[in-house]
Order: sequence, then structure tokens, then C-alpha cells
Amino acid sequence: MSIFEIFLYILLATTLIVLYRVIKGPSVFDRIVGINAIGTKTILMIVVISYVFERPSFLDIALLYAILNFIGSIVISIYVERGGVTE
Amino acid sequence: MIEAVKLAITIVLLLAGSFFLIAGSLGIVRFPDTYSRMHAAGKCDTLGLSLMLAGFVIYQGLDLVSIKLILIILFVFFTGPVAVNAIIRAAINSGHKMWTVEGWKEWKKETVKKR
Amino acid sequence: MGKRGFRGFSLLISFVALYLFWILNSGRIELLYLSMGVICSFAIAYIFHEIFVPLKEPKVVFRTAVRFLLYIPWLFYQIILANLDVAKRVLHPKMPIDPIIISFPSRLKSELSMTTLGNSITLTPGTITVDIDPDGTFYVHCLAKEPAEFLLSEVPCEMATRVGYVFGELERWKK
Repeated sequence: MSIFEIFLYILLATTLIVLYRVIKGPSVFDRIVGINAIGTKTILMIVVISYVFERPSFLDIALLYAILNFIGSIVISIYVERGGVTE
Repeated sequence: MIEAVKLAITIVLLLAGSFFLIAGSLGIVRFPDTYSRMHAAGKCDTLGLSLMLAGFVIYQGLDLVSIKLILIILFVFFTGPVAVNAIIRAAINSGHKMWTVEGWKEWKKETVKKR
Repeated sequence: MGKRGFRGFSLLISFVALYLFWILNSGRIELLYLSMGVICSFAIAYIFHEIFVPLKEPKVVFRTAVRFLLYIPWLFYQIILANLDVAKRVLHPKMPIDPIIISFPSRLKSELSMTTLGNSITLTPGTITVDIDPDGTFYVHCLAKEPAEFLLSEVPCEMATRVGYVFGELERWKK
């Protein structure tokens, strides 16, 4: 067992904490914030997994996920701002 | 010997990063309104990710793989605040209410006097 | 060296940066990959070079780059302080927060410097940029009174002065 596996469990715990806010969150903006935070933790999880399994090529996926996370947050917030999906 | 020191620095950086990530997640759950939740999400996540990836950079040494890690750090550093700013502007412009000590308030740009 | 020379310089710098990025990401030194990289990075540099490197004197561009690199350590120190502050407020059982939105003039002129200051404010103690007016007025959401004081204490505050110095718009920050 690699020592980095511990950090996978820590990241999983933080993701679950934020997931509470995504499910419960009273407004749509709380959910966007939560999704953004979960995306950041997913990037880290992919990096940790690439070290646990010793596969450096997973890092490309992490970089792509960072780009997708950023564009996703921007697009959803602009859609909510102009599209009238307010609560 | 050097390997052990490297591993120790890596573990310390990873632990520091996880501390900030946990603090940020708790902040997202505990804070009373959307705007203060964004403080926790925007700052703690960026620093937590940078510290953890910096730990992996030290573990890896300097080669093509660690340069990719540094690219991820730079990208998140430049885009994290922009994403938070997009969300907070969407919230302000759609009239989302803000929690203050006196109670819930709607904020308008005209109510703040320019200095 | 006129406008044409500036354009050539901007094109060259952005092409070199993009090609370096290509080589680092592909990690292969073979003729096929290298030639594909030349084509792609030249096309992107030709379209977007004005955004990467503004059409100014090379001396000014280099000066801005050096000053920006010197600005980063100070920013990083502030970010660490910011995170400890936010973590303290989160973990404190009573949660000592007092949110408020303030506005302050920054005296910055260009869009690039305003964006840099906005990002820096978002990353540092208890403050998030909400909106920026074209005349340089910043609207900032503060988590408590002390971070607001940090921005309101002087008229171009410390951070705005430092950012203005990086882009050659304000004098150097003096204590």
C-alpha cells in the first residue's frame, strides 16, 4: 500500500462534506460554488491516483479537468445570470 | 538519506494542503450565505491544491512530469479567482440576498457611495 | 523601430512561448511532432499575439515581466496569511464574521492591471472582488472589518500601488 492512499481518503471526506452543500444548498449559486470546489478536489484525486498506480500519463487528464472545471463554472454562472434560471 | 528527507517534506506539504482543503470544505458548509461561502471556496481550495501539488513536485524532482504539475498549479492560480468572480457577479446581478450582522440585505451598486 | 517592429517582437515572443509549451507537453523529440508543433504554435501566435504580448517597446515588456516576478513572492505571503485567517474564522466555534461590501478608487488605468488587482484581491485576506467600474473603482466583499481597513486605509491602497508599479502606472510603494 502506498502512503499516498491516505490522502485519497482525506480528499474523499472533503468531497462528501461539500456534497452536503450541493444537495442541500438553498440557492443555485451555493450549488455552483460546491461544484467548483468538488472539481478542484477531483483534480487532486486524479493526481494522487496517478502516483498510487505510478501512471504519469494521468496528469494530462488532470490538466484537462482543470480547464473543464474553469470553463464549466464560467458558462454555468453566465447562463444563470442571463438565462433567468434564478430561484 | 536524501530520499527520506524528500518524502518527509512531501508528506508535510500534503498534510498542510489537506488541512486547508478541510477548512475550506467546512467553511462551505458552515458559513451562513453564498458570498461568505465563496471566501472559503475561492481561497482555501486554491492554496490547498497548490501546496499538495508542490509536495508532488518535490517528490518527483525536476523533469517533464513535474513541469506538468507546475502547469496545473499556474493554471489554477490564474483561473480560480476568475471563476469565483464570475459566480459572485452572477449572484449580485440576479439580486441574491446577502447576510450581515443586522440581517439579510439586498445589495445594489447605487447604495454604495463612491469615495 | 515602429509599430511594425513591435508586432514582430510580440509575434516572436508568443511563438517561442507556445512552442516551448508544446514541446514540454508532448515530451517527444521526433520530426513529425516537432513540425506539427511549429504549424500549430505559429497559427495561434499569429491570431492571438496582441493578447499575449501587448504592442509596446520590448524594454517596457521585459520591465513589466521582471517586476511581476518580483511581485509574486509578496502576493504569496499575503495568500498564506489570508488562508490562515479564513481557516481561523471557519474553525472558531462562534464564527466571528461581519460581511460588508465596500468600494474604493484604485487609480489604475489599463484593463490588464485592473484584472491583476482584482485577482490579487480575491486571493488575499477575507476579500473578494465583486465588480470593477471602467474608471477604476473596485467593489469588494469583505468577510470582516479588519480586511476592509487594509484596503481603505490609504487612497491607492498598498496592493493597488504595488500592482500599478508593476505595470508602470503608479510610483513605487513607500512605507
